[in-house]
Amino acid sequence: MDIIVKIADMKISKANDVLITYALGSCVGVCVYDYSKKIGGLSHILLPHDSGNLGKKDPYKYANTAIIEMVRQMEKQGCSKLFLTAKIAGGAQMFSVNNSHISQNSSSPFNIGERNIQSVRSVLKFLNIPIVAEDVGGNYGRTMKFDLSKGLIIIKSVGHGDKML
Amino acid sequence: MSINNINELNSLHMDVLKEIGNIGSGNSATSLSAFLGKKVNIDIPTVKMMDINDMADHLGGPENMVASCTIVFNGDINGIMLILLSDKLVANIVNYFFPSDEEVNVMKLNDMQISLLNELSNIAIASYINAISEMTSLSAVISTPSICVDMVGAILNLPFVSFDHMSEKIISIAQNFRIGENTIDSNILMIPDIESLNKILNSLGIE
Repeated sequence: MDIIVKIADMKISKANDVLITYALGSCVGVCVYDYSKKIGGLSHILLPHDSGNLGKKDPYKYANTAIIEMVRQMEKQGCSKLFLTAKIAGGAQMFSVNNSHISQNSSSPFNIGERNIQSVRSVLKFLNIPIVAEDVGGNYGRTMKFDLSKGLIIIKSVGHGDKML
Repeated sequence: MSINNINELNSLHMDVLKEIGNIGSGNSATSLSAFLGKKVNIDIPTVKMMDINDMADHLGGPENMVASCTIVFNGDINGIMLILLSDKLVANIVNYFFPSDEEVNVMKLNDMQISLLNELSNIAIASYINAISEMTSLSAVISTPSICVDMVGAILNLPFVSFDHMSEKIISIAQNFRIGENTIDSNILMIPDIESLNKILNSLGIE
């Protein structure tokens, strides 16, 4: 069965379902998979950190709260952290800006993709979950299909071909 | 009184924003028409409060291909404007200015073609912002445009990460405009931040 994961949302399922998330731009799709149980989770995060306590209301919007909550729920379903691996995609910079004031400002919305990637990496490192494959950066959107029977991911993009992770 | 969250906007606010969209887009249409030498029609604008998923669905689904031009405006009022053109319309416009037997590949526009779209968007957005400035006596400077041709869901990431992250919804003042005889809809989205929204409403005497 195909399960759609919307933006700022997260879904967990098991073989033989397929988790799909459409049109990742600066967002990052984080897939965490347990090979032994064939259970996987896909989180479509929008922003790197929750500032203040916003993560309580919208945990799946922010990299730090979304990944921690996803892994917690996967463990609840019987996954062991020892078997978890991660694959990530997205974090593009969709619009290039000439104005250096806008593009180089560290809080600029234009380069949030890069900050999303960094945040996802550091959260996964904190949880001791290795990133085994990734397709990040660039300037184009990606659709992610996560096949839970094998743990394989197909990345579709417009004009940049398809990739298997 | 000012609003802190866009959920507090009432129907009077919405009507005012609609009128602003109407005046802005009317100006854009006039400038575009002069530039293109073609008739440009506009529909009644819509003011939408949506979260990112609904907005992507509203614009043809997250994977719908569009050409988008983004401009950031700063000054008394701050926000982002997006022009969304269907790939067909882009091909039409490019063909109109640079007639050629070769089919236009919207995914691989050359520098001249990108420059043309930039100029068009610049004209449309500058005249839109000018109209609002005149009406409200609030000034804003616009950035140079930036073009991206991709899935609309991916393009929409930008406005949703741009402002305060307090509310999951954004307000967009959207207008369809149709160019020439062929009725290909395009969207012009104006997305102000919450502070600017208050300033615009206050300057027009809305409490």
